[in-house]
Amino acid sequence: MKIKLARDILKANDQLADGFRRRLGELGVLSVNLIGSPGSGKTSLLERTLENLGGLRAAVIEGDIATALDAERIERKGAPAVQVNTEGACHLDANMVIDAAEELDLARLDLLFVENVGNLVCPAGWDLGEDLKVVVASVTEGDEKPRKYPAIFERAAACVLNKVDLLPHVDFDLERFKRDAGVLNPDMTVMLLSAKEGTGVPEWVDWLKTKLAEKRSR
Amino acid sequence: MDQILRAIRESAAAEGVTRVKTVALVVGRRSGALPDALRFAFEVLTAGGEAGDGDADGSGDGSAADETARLFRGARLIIEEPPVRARCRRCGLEYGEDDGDAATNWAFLCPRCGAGAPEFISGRELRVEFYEGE
Repeated sequence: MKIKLARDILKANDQLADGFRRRLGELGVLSVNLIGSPGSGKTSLLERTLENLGGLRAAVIEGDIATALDAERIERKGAPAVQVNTEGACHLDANMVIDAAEELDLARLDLLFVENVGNLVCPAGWDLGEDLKVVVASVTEGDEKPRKYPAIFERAAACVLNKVDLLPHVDFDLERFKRDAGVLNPDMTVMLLSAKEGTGVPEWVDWLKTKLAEKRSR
Repeated sequence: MDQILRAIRESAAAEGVTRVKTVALVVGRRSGALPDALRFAFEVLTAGGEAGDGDADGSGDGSAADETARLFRGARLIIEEPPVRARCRRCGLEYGEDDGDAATNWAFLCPRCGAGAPEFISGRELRVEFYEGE
């Protein structure tokens, strides 16, 4: 007996993600999935963001293989944080995010950040119900990241290039990085930023506010 | 692979299938999944389940792993790998991975007009097509 399934392997995840996206849509919460290598500065970017959001209310879901170190850093900034430990898995999936969101009062939020497990590969393929994927890269990683990991650059709404205060000290061809990123995804906004020194943070926060306003006006 | 086998297990239970003989997947060459890794996972997850064994993971609990091993004992995995086909958003050309200079064309640019970010027509599939059993 031959049984035709024709079932998309990621469909179960995508259905959960769509449901979560609808719920966030009804609540008017903008959800941002941050994806980047370990050490690119995702948590530092979030710390800076939380300091500069003005009156906006944000919460963070932190994905890591182990430890609650990142959630503790977020809580020190006064924002609610939920730590998810994937115990070996290289990415978050929609189910993990939905479970974690149970701990949060979504109706009282403007922004929900999800910091994915540090990895440029697998997280690109998993829909977490977010409105926007943002890739966080840093100048210390080298300028060839778009060429080596095209999938995430193809799917991201924005790229935050972090640690630009170190540009004078590293071999990083900024023009090449921007050109390659633009070839893969002409619609992606590239923002230069230093989470350490705060440069570029106002532009990044403005971008988030614009996206939130766009979502709520739809 | 665990998700694939779970989907088939659910379907098999509904269809009254007790023994799966073939599993057919479609894994596009730009899906991000590796056929070799899938073959290896299939082998590992369906190992055991010998007649009278019934305890594939040695847990003695008749767990899902035991059930999977029994259902898939000796099953064959077929993987179809559709090539990448893209359509240029600027000039409309349809092209494949062997058109243009595949070795250096990391961004899969249009071989006619050079535009990037094409629409992918095929090559991103990742699905269970069918299974055969009795």
